[in-house]
Amino acid sequence: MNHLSSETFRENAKAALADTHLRGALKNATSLFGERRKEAAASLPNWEALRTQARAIKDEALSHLDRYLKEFVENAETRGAKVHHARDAAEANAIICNLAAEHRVRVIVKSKSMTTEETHLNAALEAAGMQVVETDLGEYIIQLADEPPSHIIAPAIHKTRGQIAELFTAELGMPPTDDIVQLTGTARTTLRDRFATADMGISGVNFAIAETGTIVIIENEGNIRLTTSLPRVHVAVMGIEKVIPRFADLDVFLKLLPRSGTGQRLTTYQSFITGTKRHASDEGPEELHVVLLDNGRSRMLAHPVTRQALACIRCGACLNACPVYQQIGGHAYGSVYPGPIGAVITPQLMGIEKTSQLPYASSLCGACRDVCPVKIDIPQLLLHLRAEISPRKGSIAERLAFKLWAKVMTRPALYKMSSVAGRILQRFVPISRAWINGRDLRPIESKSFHELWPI
Amino acid sequence: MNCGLFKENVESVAGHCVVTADVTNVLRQIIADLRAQRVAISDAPELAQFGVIPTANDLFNFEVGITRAQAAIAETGTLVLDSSCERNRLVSVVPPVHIAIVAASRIYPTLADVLAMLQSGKEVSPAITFITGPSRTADIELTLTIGVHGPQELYVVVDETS
Repeated sequence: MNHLSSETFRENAKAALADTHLRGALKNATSLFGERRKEAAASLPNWEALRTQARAIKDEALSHLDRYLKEFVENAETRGAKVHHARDAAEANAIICNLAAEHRVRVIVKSKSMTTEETHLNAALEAAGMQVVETDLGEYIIQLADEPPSHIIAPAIHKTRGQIAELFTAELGMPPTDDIVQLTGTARTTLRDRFATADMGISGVNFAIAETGTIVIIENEGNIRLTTSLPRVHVAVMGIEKVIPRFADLDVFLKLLPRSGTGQRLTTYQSFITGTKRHASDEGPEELHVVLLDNGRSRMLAHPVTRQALACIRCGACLNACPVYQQIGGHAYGSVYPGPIGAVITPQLMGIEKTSQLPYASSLCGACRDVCPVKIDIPQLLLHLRAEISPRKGSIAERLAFKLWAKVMTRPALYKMSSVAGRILQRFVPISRAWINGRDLRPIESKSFHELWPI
Repeated sequence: MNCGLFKENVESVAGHCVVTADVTNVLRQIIADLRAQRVAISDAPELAQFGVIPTANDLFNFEVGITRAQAAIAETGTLVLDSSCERNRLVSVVPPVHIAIVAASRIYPTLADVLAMLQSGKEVSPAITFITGPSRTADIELTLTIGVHGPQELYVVVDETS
């Protein structure tokens, strides 16, 4: 079990830093992801223009979300889909559990969906007596290990092949091996049986097109195609922010998302699903249900500053670029969405009370903002959240210290006096241990810059 | 020009691509080279001589699946399968080898061109699939592995006569 809480972020991070296996796996993965993204972005001469365009489309969709959602629902339902509205996780899970019961479903195959991680759907379905099988290789691995995902697009990024081999030996009775091809082959064979017998397929959604009522789901493995084609019922779960206005807008997003996520020009498969099949004899599920999840999103939408976080297309680039994520990985955040974007989204979805340490899990270096394909200003949002937290948190001594510091720094005479005093006092007073534990602090020089270079 | 770039891009993602005026013979040769005994086909009439249309029960027992592709994208090496034209959804994903036939005249230069084409009819088709290379994963140590849930091999035969 590895279900950590955001409330113990500092302790989680400390433990992660001591885990050499984890740090090796993270270093390898985040640097590879980073290099591939950089190369892929450089292969498009108009990368910056595409980012600007993508953000403009998302802003347009978000500022008229009511209208575009309505249009999407109408168009999807005209073509045979049934759309359900869920205010929160509990409602979404209840809708899906009821659908499963109604259709006498026993086995459910799932493709990777961060939204269903957010609602803890698997636990709800299992409690209702359903067997749920994750089919994305990474998700399958962490389901066997009973762990949450540690990265938005590579859920088992924290595990080495040795650890995965041990897991497969213990859980699937596979002979011990270090060969990745054999491990993958075993997962394929095991999961084929599940695909053949499943009555329901549950998927996420990458983009929902208002204009046509189409849902678009992208992947590399083929498990989404099987999940959305084989079982008789398909349930697609999406946050309300996934809607974009036009079919043609996909051109921009299909260029940005794979390049930012895995560094691919295009992922292997894109499934475009518009309603249900038109004739009973056609291939594909008999029913398509789309669950629209709010779960705090309309609260974010109402806020002029935090709204932009809803533009996120879940590529994971900010995780790979973040010096904090690179060291501690995803589990330490104790939240479904880790990394810089997780530190922004989680407090807003789950409430700031239990997640108040997350906005501080950043050096504000801005690497996340620079790689974001939809130009979300993550450092600005982190500062905004810190400002919301700080009046409630922080000791009286700390607040007094900063008030004093502000007074001194804005008065040149006081500042001069304080640096002279500091030079003398630093010889006698040990500087607070807590302050220098994680930082370098150079002693104050005997002469200031001003004294060396008088105007 | 689209044809050459398309072939190059299919090959860059570990797919095989043959441009030919004699599709029938090329298909026979690929099937013979694979030593495939059980070949599944979509319901496209011109494929009938190469295999059988699978039923729901024997879908998982085929070695090769053959379909047409209704269009392709040169800049990415992508096949576009439209399920309103053909029963191509399962035959193209379940068997370990997928062979697709596409007309040279249906290769569009860019992704944007294909998106516009897909929307040009009265209705967007209920299920469209883009395929760029064989199934792949990098979920273990970010190491590329070909063939997870979908086909391990992808052959594209471009018919230069149509």
